[in-house]
Amino acid sequence: MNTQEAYLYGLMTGRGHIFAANSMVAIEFSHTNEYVEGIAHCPKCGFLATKPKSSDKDNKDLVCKNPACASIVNGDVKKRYNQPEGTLESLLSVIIPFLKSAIKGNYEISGNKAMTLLLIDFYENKEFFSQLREAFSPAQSFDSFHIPKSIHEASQINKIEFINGLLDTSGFANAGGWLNRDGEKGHGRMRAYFQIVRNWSMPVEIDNFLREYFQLPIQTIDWGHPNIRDGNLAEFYGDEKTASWSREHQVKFFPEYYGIFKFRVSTKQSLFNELLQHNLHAVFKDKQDWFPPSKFGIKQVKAFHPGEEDARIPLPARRHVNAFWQLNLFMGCKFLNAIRSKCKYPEMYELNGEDINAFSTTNLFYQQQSQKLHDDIFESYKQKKDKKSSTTVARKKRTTPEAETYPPLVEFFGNHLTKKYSQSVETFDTSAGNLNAFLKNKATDLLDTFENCERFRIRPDVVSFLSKEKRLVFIESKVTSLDLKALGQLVGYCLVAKPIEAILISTKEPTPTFVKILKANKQLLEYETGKLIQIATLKSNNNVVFTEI
Amino acid sequence: MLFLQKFDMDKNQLSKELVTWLPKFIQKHYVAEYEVLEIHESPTMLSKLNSHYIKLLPNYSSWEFSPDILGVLRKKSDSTIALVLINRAVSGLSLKEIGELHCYAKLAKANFAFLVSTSGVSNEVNILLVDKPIKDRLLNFAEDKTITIFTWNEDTKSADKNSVLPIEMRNLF
Repeated sequence: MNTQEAYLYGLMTGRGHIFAANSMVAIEFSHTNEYVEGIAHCPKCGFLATKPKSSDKDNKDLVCKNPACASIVNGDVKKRYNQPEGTLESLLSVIIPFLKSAIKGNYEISGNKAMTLLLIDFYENKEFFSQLREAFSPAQSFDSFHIPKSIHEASQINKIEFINGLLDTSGFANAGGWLNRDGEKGHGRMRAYFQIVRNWSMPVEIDNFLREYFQLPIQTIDWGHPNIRDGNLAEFYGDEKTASWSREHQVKFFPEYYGIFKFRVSTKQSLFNELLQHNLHAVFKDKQDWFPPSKFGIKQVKAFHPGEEDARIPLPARRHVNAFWQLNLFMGCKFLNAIRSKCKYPEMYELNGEDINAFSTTNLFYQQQSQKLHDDIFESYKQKKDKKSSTTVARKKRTTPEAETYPPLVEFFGNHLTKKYSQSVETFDTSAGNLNAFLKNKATDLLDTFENCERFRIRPDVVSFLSKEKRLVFIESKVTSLDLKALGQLVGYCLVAKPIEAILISTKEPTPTFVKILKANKQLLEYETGKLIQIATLKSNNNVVFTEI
Repeated sequence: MLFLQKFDMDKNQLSKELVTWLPKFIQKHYVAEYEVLEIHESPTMLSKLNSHYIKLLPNYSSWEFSPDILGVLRKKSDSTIALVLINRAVSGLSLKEIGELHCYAKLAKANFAFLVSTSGVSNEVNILLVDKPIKDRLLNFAEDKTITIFTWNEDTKSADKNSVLPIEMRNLF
């Protein structure tokens, strides 16, 4: 293995996709915000300056965190970095030439304001592509990759290059992610992090890799687990319908220990340097490594969260936790497991980090406390909602006439498809939020299909699931006359997701002209060999009438 | 530079710039094959468009749709009429916009179909279009005919070469 290969493996591990059928890989360089800002330091004393919580959005003034100074600092002192521009320039002038120097392939760039995509076609380098596939096999995308075995066996230089690649795709330096800590000569300890999307193995793998081969500390792992991200159940019982806690994990570290690595994406490196210089100047002596973890008591017990049983959480972590390090342990942290294996009472160690003979009583005590915390929070949200609903009933009603067609469509297609396919069929109004709940609790085998639809924003108005076939039915509803535009939109979804049936329906009967066009051009309805989008009308009695094309 | 467009360009302005771009594009790459006859900006339904050339085409009365820009070309080899459809947007392009143009291009048997945005394609579509079978299904509206997607650069008033999808079409930009 050469350094370029190790670097490419790092890029892939962070945000890579393998397209076996076309011998290609795609690597995402995410830059959600066009501009990111650096750190603001007070020109008078050099301390960190931040925006006061009370100031309004348009006010750029910051306040120095040094209590002895407390000067007003103009927000313009912060450097601004254009991420798409920096990423593109780095790819063209640094990353691609570096990779190309040792790995034959056709390199292309694609993307938009939020993401730049590096595409590498290995059509003329099948041998390397096969080796790369093997390294990540059987996974195809970063959300299920593991760190390749060959990287564990690689030289130290190549291990560094692997981390460099990982940093370029999944590493982020963010001036807003500082910890409220006092250093000897300054305030606020800056942190950078690896952002791990949907991959539950990778946080611990990265932690253990850095710990084992570089003896580097990790400050914490911010798991995308309901007990960690939504500990107060604000998301679950509040207004949010989606479980945003499940989106990502963050492995956080202090830059001052990571100087041996480098970002090749210039904007990331510049920000990282700012964070690094800040921490070095402020002087923090404590490593603040999460390992070994501290034991905890009843005060740290978190409320029970119904999302603990979410099917998207892998089995080892699908449980209640009170501290992030418990997830590290359950997800295979070798350092924690080494401690546990030496414990006299490993169950107790898992529970709160102690090694004493008190598991049964402590566990019961924690469970009761957890349930009580949940019930208190639930009750408080219920009261808030009851109060709100008595005053805002009118506002809660659906406002679009299209949405009023969803409940009758759910009912009709639930019955219609159950009869047609002689099997249980679940039908959902995708805007109502109950689809998530169903998938989480009952349809774990449909989760991948659903997740793909979510990922690619395929969201027809009503979706049915055939329990035996494990197939989808799409229903797109309109209250205007159907036209080619409406048909085309559903065609887009169908060409990707290939549902077993797709129905375009309106409360208005299709015009004779539209029917004539479709009859004369049936190919417009075809999204897969032999599968045609059906046209239907939702009648005022909530019955559905199909139009023969 | 790529990806640096602002959101402030309105759709009408983009249409105007594309109306200027299209004949130049044809002239540059297809001058031996096609002659540009007409360019229509925001035409009415093509079935009702008052164009002598359109009315020469079979099934034009079925074309109950309005692309954002229509180009009418004449094939030099046999004088037949060929169509260019362009849909444009200022936000990220999703499956809906691709499906819509796919449908129009298939119905009108267009020779060229372009989908253009100042914001490029959305993240999820970007990844989908790397997968060849999905890309072929979404973009190929006839044998050897594909929808070409690109980002319009407001500063240079031209297509960003690095944004062109499918990649095979980049040599034309």
